Amino acid sequence: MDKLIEELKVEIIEALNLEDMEPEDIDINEPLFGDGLGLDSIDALELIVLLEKNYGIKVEDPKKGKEIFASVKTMAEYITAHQK
Amino acid sequence: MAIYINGIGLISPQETKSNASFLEEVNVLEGDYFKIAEPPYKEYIAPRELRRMSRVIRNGIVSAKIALNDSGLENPDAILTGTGLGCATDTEKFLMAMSENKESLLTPTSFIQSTHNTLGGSIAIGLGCHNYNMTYVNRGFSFESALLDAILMINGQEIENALVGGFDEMTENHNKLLLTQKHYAKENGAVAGQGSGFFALEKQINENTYAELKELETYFKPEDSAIEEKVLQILKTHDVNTSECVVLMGFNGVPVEQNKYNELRDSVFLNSCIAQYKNLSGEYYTSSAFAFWAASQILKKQSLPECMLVSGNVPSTIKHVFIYNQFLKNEHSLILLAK
Repeated sequence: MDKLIEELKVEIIEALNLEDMEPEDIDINEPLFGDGLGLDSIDALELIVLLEKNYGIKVEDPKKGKEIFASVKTMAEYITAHQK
Repeated sequence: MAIYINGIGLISPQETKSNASFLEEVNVLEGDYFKIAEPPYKEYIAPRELRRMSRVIRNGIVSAKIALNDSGLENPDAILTGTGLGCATDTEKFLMAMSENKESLLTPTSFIQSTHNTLGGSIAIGLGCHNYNMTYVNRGFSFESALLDAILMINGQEIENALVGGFDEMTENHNKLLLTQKHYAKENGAVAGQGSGFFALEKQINENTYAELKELETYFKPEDSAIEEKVLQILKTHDVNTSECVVLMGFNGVPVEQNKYNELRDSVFLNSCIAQYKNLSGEYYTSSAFAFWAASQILKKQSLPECMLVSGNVPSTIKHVFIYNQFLKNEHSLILLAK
């Protein structure tokens, strides 16, 4: 799980072009949207594509998005549980 | 009706972000095409906004902000942009992803940022400006078309002022394609370039005014003698003394085009000071915006940088600057600015 979290942080920084951030700057429990990293709805779409492209996981139910993308940790847990 | 250039902003391969200096040092060409001398973006754009912007958008916004700050204009009556290629990097990114992922898994950001009017929209959003906003994509006439729209609207008394700009970017991939064309071939060809120039045009003259925009004419594939006739007509209409005029010509190293410039130089402008700009900007669809910036500076500072001089003597008083630009022998534009 730790390795996956580190990979995920690097992928998020690259996909969302968070230029001034390093992986260690992202707290794995920090909210991705709102107060934490301050991501928005366009970033949510980028993260959905990232999950499908890099991990082969399709988010079928949009209502689950809030739960899945709550933090880096919840994303990693979702990937671990759903990756084939 | 008189139209004045009251603010200018240019991001280019040269150090042009400050209007206080005027090409005192020259960045020489490195590689196959001219790269942008990048400004410190964070001084102009908030980091949160910056991260989604490709370089061409960043350069466009920075140059627009420089022009607006220079003029003191806060909310222009119109934002008019011209571009030949638009946001080339994001377009390539989006198309490559489409090809690699077999038209699926497409990310939104590069799509949103790939349209030609992204810059005009971004400037308006940044300013909270809900006024007329138009982007022209007319190859070598793109900047001129934006300029013409501003002239028509100001003369038609629909607006009092306008922010007008021309921008283009070059990419490694696009330059590789260009090098396969005769116009850009390595032997006797033009060197591709890029840049973003914005201008605050107003009906009122003020203490910051650079120049008055006297004339703009565009001709698509003109007859051989047509340009000379038109130039003579413009000079007569505006009572231009060619010995007090600096002529900016788009010399680009392509022999056929060079001949066209030389013909005009050796006939109409025999006693004028002849200058060039594509040795500093490179060749691109909206390079006339670079020339427009340089012409504004020449008239306000009453000096011509050595790196631009081709022949003749710099007049002690520069009353006019005449710009003659041509693109791929098809699009010819004539612009006259006055002190």
